Amino acid sequence: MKKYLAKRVFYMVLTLFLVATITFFLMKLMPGTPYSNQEKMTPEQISIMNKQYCLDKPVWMQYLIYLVGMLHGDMGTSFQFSNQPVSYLIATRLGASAQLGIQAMIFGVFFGIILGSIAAINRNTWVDTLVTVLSIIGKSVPNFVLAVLLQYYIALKLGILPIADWGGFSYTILPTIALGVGPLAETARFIRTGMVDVLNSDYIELARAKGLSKFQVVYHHALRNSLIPLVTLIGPYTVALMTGSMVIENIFSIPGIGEQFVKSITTNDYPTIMGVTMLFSAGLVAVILLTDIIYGIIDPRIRLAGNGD
Amino acid sequence: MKLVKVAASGAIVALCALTLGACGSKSSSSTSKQVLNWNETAELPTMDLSTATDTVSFDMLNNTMEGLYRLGKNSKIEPGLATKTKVSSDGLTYTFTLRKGAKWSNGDKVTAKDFVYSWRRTLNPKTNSQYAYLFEGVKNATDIMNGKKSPETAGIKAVGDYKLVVTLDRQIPYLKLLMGFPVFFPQNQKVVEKYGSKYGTASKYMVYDGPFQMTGWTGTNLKWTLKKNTNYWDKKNVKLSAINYKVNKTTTTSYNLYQSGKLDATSLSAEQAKQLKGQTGYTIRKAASTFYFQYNQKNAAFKNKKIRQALSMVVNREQFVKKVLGDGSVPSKGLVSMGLASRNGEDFATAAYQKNGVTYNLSEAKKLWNEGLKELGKTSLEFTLLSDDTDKAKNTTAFIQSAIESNLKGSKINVSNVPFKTRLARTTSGDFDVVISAWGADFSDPISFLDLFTSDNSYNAGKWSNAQYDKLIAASKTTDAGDTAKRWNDLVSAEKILMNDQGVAPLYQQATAWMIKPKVKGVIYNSAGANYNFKNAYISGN
Amino acid sequence: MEENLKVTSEDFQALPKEEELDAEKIAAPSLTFTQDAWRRLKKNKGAVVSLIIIVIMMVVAFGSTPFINHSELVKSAPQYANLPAKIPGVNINGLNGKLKQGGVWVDQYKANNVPDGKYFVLGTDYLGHSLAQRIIYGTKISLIVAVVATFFDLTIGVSYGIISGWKGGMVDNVMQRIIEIISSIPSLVIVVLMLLVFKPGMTSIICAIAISSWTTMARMIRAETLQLKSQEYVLAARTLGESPVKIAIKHLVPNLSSIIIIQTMYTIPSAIFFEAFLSFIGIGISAPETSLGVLLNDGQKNFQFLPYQMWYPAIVLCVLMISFNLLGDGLRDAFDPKTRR
Repeated sequence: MKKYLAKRVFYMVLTLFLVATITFFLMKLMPGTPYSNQEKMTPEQISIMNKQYCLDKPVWMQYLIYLVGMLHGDMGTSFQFSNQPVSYLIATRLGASAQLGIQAMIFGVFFGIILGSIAAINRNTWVDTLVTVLSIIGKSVPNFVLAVLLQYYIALKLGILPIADWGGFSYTILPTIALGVGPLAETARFIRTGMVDVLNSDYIELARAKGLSKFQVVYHHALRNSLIPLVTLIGPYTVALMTGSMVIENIFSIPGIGEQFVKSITTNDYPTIMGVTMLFSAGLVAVILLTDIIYGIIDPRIRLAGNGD
Repeated sequence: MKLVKVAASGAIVALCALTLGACGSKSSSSTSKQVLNWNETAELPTMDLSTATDTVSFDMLNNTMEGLYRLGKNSKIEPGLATKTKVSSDGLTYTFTLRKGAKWSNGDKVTAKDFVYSWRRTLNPKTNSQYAYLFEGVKNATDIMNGKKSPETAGIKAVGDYKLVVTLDRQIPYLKLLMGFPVFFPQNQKVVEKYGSKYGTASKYMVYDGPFQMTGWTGTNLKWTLKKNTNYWDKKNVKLSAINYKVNKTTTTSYNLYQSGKLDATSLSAEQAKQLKGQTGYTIRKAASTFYFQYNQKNAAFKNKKIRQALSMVVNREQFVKKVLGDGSVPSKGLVSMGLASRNGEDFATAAYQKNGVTYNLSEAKKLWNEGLKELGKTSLEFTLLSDDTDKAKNTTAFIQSAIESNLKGSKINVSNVPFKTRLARTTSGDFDVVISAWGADFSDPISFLDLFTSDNSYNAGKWSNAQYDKLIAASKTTDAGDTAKRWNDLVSAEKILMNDQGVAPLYQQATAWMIKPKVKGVIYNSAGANYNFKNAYISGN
Repeated sequence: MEENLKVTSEDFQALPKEEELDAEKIAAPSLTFTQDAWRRLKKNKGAVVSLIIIVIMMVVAFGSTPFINHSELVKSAPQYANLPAKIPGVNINGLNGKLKQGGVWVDQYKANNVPDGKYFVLGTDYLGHSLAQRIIYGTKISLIVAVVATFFDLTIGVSYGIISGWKGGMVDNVMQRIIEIISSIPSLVIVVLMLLVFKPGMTSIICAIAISSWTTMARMIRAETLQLKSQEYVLAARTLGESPVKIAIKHLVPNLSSIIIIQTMYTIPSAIFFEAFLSFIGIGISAPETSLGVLLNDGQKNFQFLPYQMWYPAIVLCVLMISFNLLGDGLRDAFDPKTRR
């Protein structure tokens, strides 16, 4: 186990290094400059600015500076917010996105499992059809449309919840729902499919024959086995949600990282783009490792090393 | 079983929080007096006046800081820190006497040295000021920006604590207006040096000398408050106790907040503006910014004047602003926006109006187009129309593409909507055929617009060039700078040349529709420079 | 206790020849795998209806190509901007040219002086384009995006996942790292770079999808392959010396079909949404072309005042999605050997 982990961590670092390298050079290909008013700047000013941001050095030097900075946790200075370190920018923006992402995932997975199980148990009845259709609708309405509808009807017309802003649990409910419906639908469908397969298998027949109650059968045997494909899905999904859904953050005016990321792309804020990308991939790689470990725990058939023969 | 239990308790917690949250929001909605809730559509990037480049920053600086003058209604010069101004007879030396008793929010006195420090800091190329170009004309400013002279040589001197002497290389007729723009405001050296690179990155790393001081801005968050500054010299005339700013990037959200009473003012999208027109609170804010076609004259097709004229005449500007934009924008009369400057009661835009340059004339457009194509020896013309990627810009390009392609035979347009900075980069490097550019005046003088199209100006990316135009602009800055009437005539003639030759084709003058609660009174809005001045704003009634 | 039964040859009777043969005969007609699947798919009413809807939509969307082309799309009529739906002879508020404004139904056609004979079945957008026309064109673009994404999912995603899971060891390791890297680079960055290489529009969106869309599928397939590989029937096939390619096609793919189909059914909306998201941030399909995502995004902005501009494209998108999903369910049940009855 220890050896396996060490190996995986080594791979993780390798992956991150490659991502950093690729992003860095991709960034050099992006069009435009980070200065918003450069026509009015003198050549002297531009050259001094380039020097400050190390843009005057050859690309390989910039790359080395960037890598060394990364190792020290220094991701450079944002172009967009003058003098604001990217690490500070990310730190202040990540919290809201992470909270929202995790809440949305919990909401989605929890209700998804319930709905999916109900559908599987009552498969081929109207309950099943209803769940299916609901989850498809949930998945086929873009979340910005859902967000706008929730904001208009629930917050403005009914006045139950805050319209937008960030500052307490009640502010997170509508964005959580808007963001969580996607994972909810997906989870429900996966659970239903997985469980239908499992419920048809022999060991379930056996469990039933033993006289276990329906709930026990579902909970102890069927659910656990149908969770396996879901685990692969949840991990990266959570990271994607945590690093922010630009659309939701935009509509509900949430100070999150997703929205910032999109803005940094359109304003050529290279340090921020790279910082967020690195954060995203670090999270993703970590989650994938975690997923593989969890895999081994919930499914004894898979050995951790992953090379079965 | 465990799973279910956890979930159930979770649901209860959620429910409690829900009801609590609902209660909380209700109690907070009871409006306390003299608090204004204002919407912004973008974050505040910096409070460092030397490096600020965007409207939000300038608005915040204008209300939290103060310079020699403050711009009142219609850019009227109102007293700021200067109590007396003496101009030398040659117009090259200004002596300002400063107000005694003006203080920074940390208690320090505001002195002439603060101005000297601030100007030198902005001019120093190491500071990265992107607005330092406004100092052109101040003695040695250009050389300092180019690194040829040290910042200490700048034409600004403090004589004692309360006397400031500014020397110029050439006359600047609009100098007093400039003094109301935040880039010329003072900065407290002690504070700047204390915070170093953190200066201006959060409300606590700043010091203020204006009517308000900022709190609650962490540098990256989406809300902050301007609180009345108790150290301000004229605090008895500041009526608002606080202005709460919130950043809502979509107008759907901010209008919802406005309807529920959480915001007192919000800007509107084009569609909202069309639907809400005529309702109480509907306000049009005209900006001194003009959108225009800029043609790349390196492309033979656009060197042809007839082609340029045809493209301009085929656009029905009236229909466009009314039906497509619908937000109060008006068709341009010329490059210089309306209401920017006037002389003897005549607006500059009217004085320089050239009907042919900006009027819809379909039959003439078709005729010119065909003639132009013949001159070029072509039967068709395909080109790219470059523009921003905002909703407004996209609607604009869609309309224009439609107008040109369905009316001018043989035209084919590829629309390219790109982010602002990409658009700028492509424009500057000459990588375009026709671009819809926009320019907003930094101060209320026509030169702010007309300066752009001299042959050697870096903003003149299309490389339109006219010797007579260059001469007139130069004259307005040198020989005629001291003579208001001559200078005015120079500028009017220059604009007429630009319009007649269709160096650029102005489309519309931008405006933004707002909903502002009628209880909000006394807000001063200026179309050029820093837009909002809340010094005398107040709230009356509900 | 033994009971002695005396069985003599007379107790037995030879069957007539024909009956003897009958017992060996398989009553049902012999069916290939696909025929069998098709037979079972036909039994599923929801799937059949969905299939018909999808076919109709495809025919309408792609069949419109000669009629709704660039020169047709680029025409605008701002004098007819933002008119609600009007169907002659129908007098239901919302379909008769009336729009609710400030709580009152106002006839927009009259208010805008639209000539009597002129009507738009689904209303118009801000430039006076017929919304019906734009929805048809938008559906076409969205379908193309969806088909392309599915194609990459099925080709690259499935084979990549199977190879990675089947081979295991070093190969698996390297392949998984590659996936991690690809999925770590935000697709937005890829799109922006594509915009640099190509012009904004379909090509860049398709390239971005080609690069990044298949990774989820590959990961799911790999995980499932890891499970299947230790199943008895796979083991049996291996022991019998079946080639890995054959095992993959004959045994793995049918057993993976449910995962593949569900994942595909999620790829389609994801791809359509990805495109919609791009238009939300302003780098998607550019005018005069349009897509369902663009229409929805334009619609949601005006939702408070012109709700129909959001609802119509939303309904089309939902119907399309539901059809794809029900068809997907039907296909899964039809192909998956486990659900065979």
